[in-house]
Amino acid sequence: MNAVEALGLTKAYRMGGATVMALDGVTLSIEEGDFVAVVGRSGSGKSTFLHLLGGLDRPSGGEIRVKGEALSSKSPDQLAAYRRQSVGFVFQSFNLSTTMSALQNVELPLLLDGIGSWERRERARELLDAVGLDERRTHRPSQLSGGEQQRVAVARSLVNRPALLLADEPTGNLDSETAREVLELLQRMNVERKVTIVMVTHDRPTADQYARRVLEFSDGRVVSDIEKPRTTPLAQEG
Amino acid sequence: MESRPQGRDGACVSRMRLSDTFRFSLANLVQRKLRTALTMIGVAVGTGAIVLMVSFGVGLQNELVNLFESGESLLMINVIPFKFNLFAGRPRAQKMRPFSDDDLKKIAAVDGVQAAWPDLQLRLRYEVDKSGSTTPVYAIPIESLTQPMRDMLVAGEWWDGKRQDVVVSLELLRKVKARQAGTQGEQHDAPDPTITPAEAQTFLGKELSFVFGGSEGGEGTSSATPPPGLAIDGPDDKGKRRVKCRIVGVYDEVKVGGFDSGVYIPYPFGKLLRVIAPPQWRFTEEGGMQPMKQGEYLSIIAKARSIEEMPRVIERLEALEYNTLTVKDLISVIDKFTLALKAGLGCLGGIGLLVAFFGIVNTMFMAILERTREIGMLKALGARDRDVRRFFLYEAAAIGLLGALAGLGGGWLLSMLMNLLARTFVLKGERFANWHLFQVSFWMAAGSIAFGVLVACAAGLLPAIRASRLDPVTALRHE
Repeated sequence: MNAVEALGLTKAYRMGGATVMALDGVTLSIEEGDFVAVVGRSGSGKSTFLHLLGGLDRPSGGEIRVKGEALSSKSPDQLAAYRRQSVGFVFQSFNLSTTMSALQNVELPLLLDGIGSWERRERARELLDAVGLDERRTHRPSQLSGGEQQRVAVARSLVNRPALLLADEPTGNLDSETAREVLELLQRMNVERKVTIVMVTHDRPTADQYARRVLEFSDGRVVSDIEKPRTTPLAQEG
Repeated sequence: MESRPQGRDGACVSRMRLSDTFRFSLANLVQRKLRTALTMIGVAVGTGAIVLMVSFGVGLQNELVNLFESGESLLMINVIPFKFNLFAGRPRAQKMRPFSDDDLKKIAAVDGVQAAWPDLQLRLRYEVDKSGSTTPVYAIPIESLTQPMRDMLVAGEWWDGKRQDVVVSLELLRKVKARQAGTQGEQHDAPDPTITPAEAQTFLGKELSFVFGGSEGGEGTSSATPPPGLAIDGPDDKGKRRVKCRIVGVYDEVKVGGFDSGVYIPYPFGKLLRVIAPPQWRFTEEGGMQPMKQGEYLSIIAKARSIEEMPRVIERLEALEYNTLTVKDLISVIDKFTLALKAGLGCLGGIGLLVAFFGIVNTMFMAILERTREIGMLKALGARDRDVRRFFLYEAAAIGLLGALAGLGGGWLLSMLMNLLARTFVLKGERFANWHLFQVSFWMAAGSIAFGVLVACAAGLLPAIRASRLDPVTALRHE
């Protein structure tokens, strides 16, 4: 089954007097459990695509379906619920709350979803344990390294057991060694938790190395779509 | 994806719990302790100012009402020659007809009236121990003796109304004592504040004479023939005639909130004295003054049989085209006056809260600016617009609540301090021993807290709406 289906997706922005097409008729589908990298230069539309997938923005035209459900028909509250329950975000600059501990940060999506405190704690600790940071759960982001902060962010993005993990340049602020750790973590989560990952990156070698499928965007269009053979454990299962 | 309870429109019904929202907001406040504290101080100053100002209005109202509202005084109906309305121009612009003995009879005959008597006040010369001056003299019937009047006696007792007995004020005895002390020295009428109730006791049984005629002229001079039944001496070699009375009681004018000295005499005795006393004066319809004739009265006092009958008695009197004035009317005037005072003072205090209002608006907008990325992150994680709105509204409300609590405490302490200062420097003496010019009531306290929270919420509303409408994509890019 397809996790994501995009049909003739467009997104236009008004800039000054001119209309800029950030996305210009994107049609594609992403299989459930896949690890897809989206590459392209700045302004190619890859981040816009990610925002539309995450329900943070609405397309100007076309349709986007996640697990068969059309996002464009959702009300703002329904879109918020979709983000709470079906999507996990990992950002380039981590976007952790600096006033909260690692554990509280991981709990946040569950807090927003009205989950009781006991269940929140259990699930957040399980995720922190999975990313290897349980013993640092009481630390604030400022007391953690960049790699650790991004691992907390990955734990946060998975705590609501999403169908879709959207990562926007997740290694952009990390050194190469730490970046490797985070990418391996994403890969592991993709395999272990069978979560579909869509990762935006401008680093082609990274995309080639870690993703099973690489989509290249240019001027709001998909200009190349390269898939590796399904040799991963996920593919064998699927 | 987990299956979740779905609403009718397909929206997932799970949402952030209010208790979690509140804790989340509080945690944010705690993170910004200094700014929160400074903003709170603004609210505290505003609320404290309102509490202090309004407590003054309430205290003044209560003390003034207490002054008038006591037991039997509520039974007294003043029948007056003009319509009592403090807010409808000067009374003398209205028809001012003095009352006659006929009026007195008609009023006394009204159903529910226990007794009626004219308001008979004279100004007479008097002598005690050869020392004399002038004093107001109040002639009242024995029926008019209310419990507060009985309570104001500090020595002796009230007359039985049958003889030429008088009850005098402590103030009058002070003046007598002061004059005796200064007879040979400089002439001064300053009251001697050191007279005690025990000293007053020594005046009981002494003679007080009302003096008429004589070469000194002025007040107390009358050429009228004394009526039969009035025991009067003289004239002596100076042409003075004296009506000798016995002091049977001494009252403390302070206890009824009075400031003037005076002498109380039985009404029948007063009626006889009036014949030879200088006339009372009244305003005429043209605005001039005119001496009153015998059998003319400025006002008549009717005492109702019971509180329950008061409204009907007043109705019946008004049906006879008499204008009435009761303690309740006075109290309603006090209430109106103090309401205006409270509103005025409250507005003055409100200026502080208005300043605090803008302080909160500023603080909240700053917070939004600082936390724009965080708002974007929260929205990306699935916070609804109304969740974001609530975060900021609750923060504002918490600032308001804590500030109002601090302001209430501060205002209350200040009001106690003001009471102490007022009693120490302004309202000195026994007269004001139990006065609390600043009074903080439960409802005022509850109201001020509610008001503080309300103002804070109003101040937080616009920033909260602004925050909730932030576009998540733009907010996440915010530096």
